[in-house]
Amino acid sequence: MEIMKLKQFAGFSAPAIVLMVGLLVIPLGATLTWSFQNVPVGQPGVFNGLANYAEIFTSPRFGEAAGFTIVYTLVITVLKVVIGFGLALMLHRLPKGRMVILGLLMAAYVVPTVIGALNFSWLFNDIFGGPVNRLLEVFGLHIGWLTETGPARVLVGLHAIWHETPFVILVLLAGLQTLPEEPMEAAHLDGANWWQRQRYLVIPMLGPLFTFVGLISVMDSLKVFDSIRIITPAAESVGTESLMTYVYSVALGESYRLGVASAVNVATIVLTLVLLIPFLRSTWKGARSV
Amino acid sequence: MNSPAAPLTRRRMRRPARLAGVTGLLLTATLALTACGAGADVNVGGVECDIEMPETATTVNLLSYNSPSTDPFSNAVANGCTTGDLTVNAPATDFGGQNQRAVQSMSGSSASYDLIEVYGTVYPLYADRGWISPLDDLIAERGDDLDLDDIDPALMEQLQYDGQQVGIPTFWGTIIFVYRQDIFDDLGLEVPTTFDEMIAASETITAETGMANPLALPFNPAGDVSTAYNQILTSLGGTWYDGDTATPTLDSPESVQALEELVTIFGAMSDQALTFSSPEVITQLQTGQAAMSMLFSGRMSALLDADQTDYSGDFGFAVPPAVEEGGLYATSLSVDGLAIAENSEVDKDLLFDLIGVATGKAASAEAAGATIPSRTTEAQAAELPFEPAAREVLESGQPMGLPHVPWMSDVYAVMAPIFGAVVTGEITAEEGATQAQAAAVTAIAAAGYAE
Repeated sequence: MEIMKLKQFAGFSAPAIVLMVGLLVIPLGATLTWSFQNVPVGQPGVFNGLANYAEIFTSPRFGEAAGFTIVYTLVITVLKVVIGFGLALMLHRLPKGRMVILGLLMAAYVVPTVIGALNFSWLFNDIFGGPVNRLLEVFGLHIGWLTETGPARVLVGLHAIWHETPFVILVLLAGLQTLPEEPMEAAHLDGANWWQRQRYLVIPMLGPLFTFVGLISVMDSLKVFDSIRIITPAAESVGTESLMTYVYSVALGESYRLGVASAVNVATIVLTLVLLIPFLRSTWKGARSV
Repeated sequence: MNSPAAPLTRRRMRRPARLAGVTGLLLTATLALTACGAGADVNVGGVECDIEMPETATTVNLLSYNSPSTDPFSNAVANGCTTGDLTVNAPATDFGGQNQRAVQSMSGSSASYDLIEVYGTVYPLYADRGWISPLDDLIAERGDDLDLDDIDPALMEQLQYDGQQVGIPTFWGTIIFVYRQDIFDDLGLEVPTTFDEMIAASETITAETGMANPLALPFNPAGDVSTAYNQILTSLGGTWYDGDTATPTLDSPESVQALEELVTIFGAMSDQALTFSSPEVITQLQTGQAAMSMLFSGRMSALLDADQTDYSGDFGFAVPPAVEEGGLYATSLSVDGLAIAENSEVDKDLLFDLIGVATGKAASAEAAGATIPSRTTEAQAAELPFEPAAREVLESGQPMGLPHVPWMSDVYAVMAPIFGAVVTGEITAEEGATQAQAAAVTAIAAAGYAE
C-alpha cells in the first residue's frame, strides 16, 4: 500500500484544520477569555477574575437550570434507548411493512424541531383544541401541561422522546439486522430463553451502537433549547429552563452579559465531558479490543 | 462477547443497505427542509423612489424584523430604490434576531447594516452608545422634503433621546380595548371604563351565554405580564424610576397595588392565562372562546379578516379602561421607526433620503392595511376601525409606554418571572415589589448604569 506523503497529508487536511481552528478553537478561546471578563453590550471586556463563576455558582436560577438539564439528560437518554431498543426489536420481527412503519416513525425526526414542538404543544393546549386534554377529560383529568412545573417538564420530555427516539430505532434496527444468526441459534439450542438471549447476546453485541446513541443523546439533551423555547416560552417561571435557554436569556434575550453567559458555557462544556466519560471509556475499550 | 465480526452474506447486507438508503433520503429531506427560507430576502411590493442616486455602485442594507406592520416600509425602499448603481437589501429576520444583529453590527468598527429598525425599548441604548446618528441637522436641512409635519409630534418625541431626534417613525400603536360588540349589545352591556366594570362584564357574559372565559389578556411570564404590569402601574400614576434617575421605584405603594391588580385580573381569566401571548388571545377572539381583551392596535387587523374569523364584523374597539375610576387609561404606546447606523460608510444624505422613501406617503398608504402608519393623512384615510380608539389614547397626552432609558430592556427582562410568581400566588404583592426592586437595582448595575 502506498503511504501518503507529508505534503499530501498536509494539503488534504489543511482545509479541515483551518475550519476547525476558525469555527471551534477561536470561539472556544474567546468563550474562555470572556468567562473571566465583564463584557457589557458592544464594549470591550474588562478582566474581573472569577466574578462570573462566583455569580453563576451562587445563583439559584443557574442551579435550577443545571439540575433540570442533568436530570432531563439522564432520564431522556435512558428512556430513548429503552423505548428505541424495544421498538427496534418489534420492527425487526415484523415480516412485512417494516420500512413503511419505520418511514412513518422517522417523520417525527425529520420535522424541524420548532415546527414539531409547536404542533406537539397544541395537542395539549386548550386554545387550539387540545385533543389530548379532551381525551383526559373523559377520565376526569385536567392537567396544566403548560402552566405547572411537573406536567410542563413531562411535556418537554415527551416531545424529546417523540422527536428523537426514531433516530435510536433507526440505528439499533440497522444493528439488529447485521447480527450473525449462528450465536442466536446456538443459544436457542442451549436452552436460553428470549430474555437471556437479549441480555447475554444481543445487547452486548450491539454495545458500540448503544454507546453511540447514548453519546449522541447526552450531547443533544444537554443543549436542549428550541423545543423548550417553543413549548414553554416562560421556561424560568414554569421550571423548564435548561442551561442553553438560560445562556440565551443572559447573553441575548435579556441583556448582553456575555461574560456571565460565557462562564455558563464553560461550565456546560465541563459538565458535558463529565457525563460523557462512561461513553468515552466504553468507546476507548472497544477500540483497544480490536 | 465481542461485537459481531462474522462475515456478512449478501442476503444479510441487503436490509442494512436499504436502511442506509432510507437514512440518506431522510437526511437529504432534512437538509432540504431546513434550507427552506435560509437567506430569503423580502422582495415584494415597492414604491416610486424619487431620490438623488449615487454615482458609484452602492449597497445599502436595511435591518428590520419581518411582520405585516414592518414589511411594507422595508419593501418600499428595498424594491423601489434598487435601481441603477443603488442596491437596497432588506434581509429577512425575526424580532429577536433583529436586536442581536443590530447590536453586533453597530457595536463593531464597520457596519453590516446601514439602516436600523428602532423602537422604544432598544433605541435609547443605541443612542446612548452613539450607535445611531442624530438626525436633527438633516431634518433642519431637508425635513420639508419629507413632509414630517404630517407625523404627530407625540410620535416624533417617542424616538428622541437626550433632546435629539434619532429616528423617523414608521408606524405606531397603543393598547386599546377590543370586544364583541354583538354580545355586548345583546346583553345591554356598556364598554367598561374601569377594571371592575370589565370583570363584571366578563361575569355577565359567562352567566348569560355560557362562555367560560370571556376575558383574555396576554399574560405570559415570558414578557407579556410585564406589559400588563406597566399598563396598570401607568394607570395608577406610578413610575418605574425616580424621575430621570437610574433609581427604581418598584417597591412603591403604586407598584404593590399594581401587582395586586395583576392578581385580581388573573383571577378573572382562565387558569391557562399564563400561557397567553397576543397570538393565543387573538385566536380565542377569532374562534369565539373570548369576548374581550386589551391588545396593541397593530394586532387588530387579524380580527377584521373574514378569512380568519367568522366574527370579523362583530368586533368593537374602544379606549382601554382605567384600573380605578378617574384613573389614566391602562395602556401602552409603541412606536417603530428607522435610524441611521453611525458606523455606516454609506453617505448619510443618501440614507436619509431612503428613510424618506420608507416613511413616505406611498409606503404609509400601503402599510395602512395592516397597521397605523405614522403619517396622519394616510392613517386616517385608511379608515381602520380601531384607529380612532388608538388615536384617542395617543392624543390624551397621558404618560404611556416604558421609560426611554438605556437600561430599560435589562430591567424589563428580569421582571416577568417575579410578576409571574406574584400572579400564581407563590409570593405576595409586597414580596414581589421588594424582589422587583432588588432585581432592577442588580440589572441596572450589571448594565453599567448604577447611579
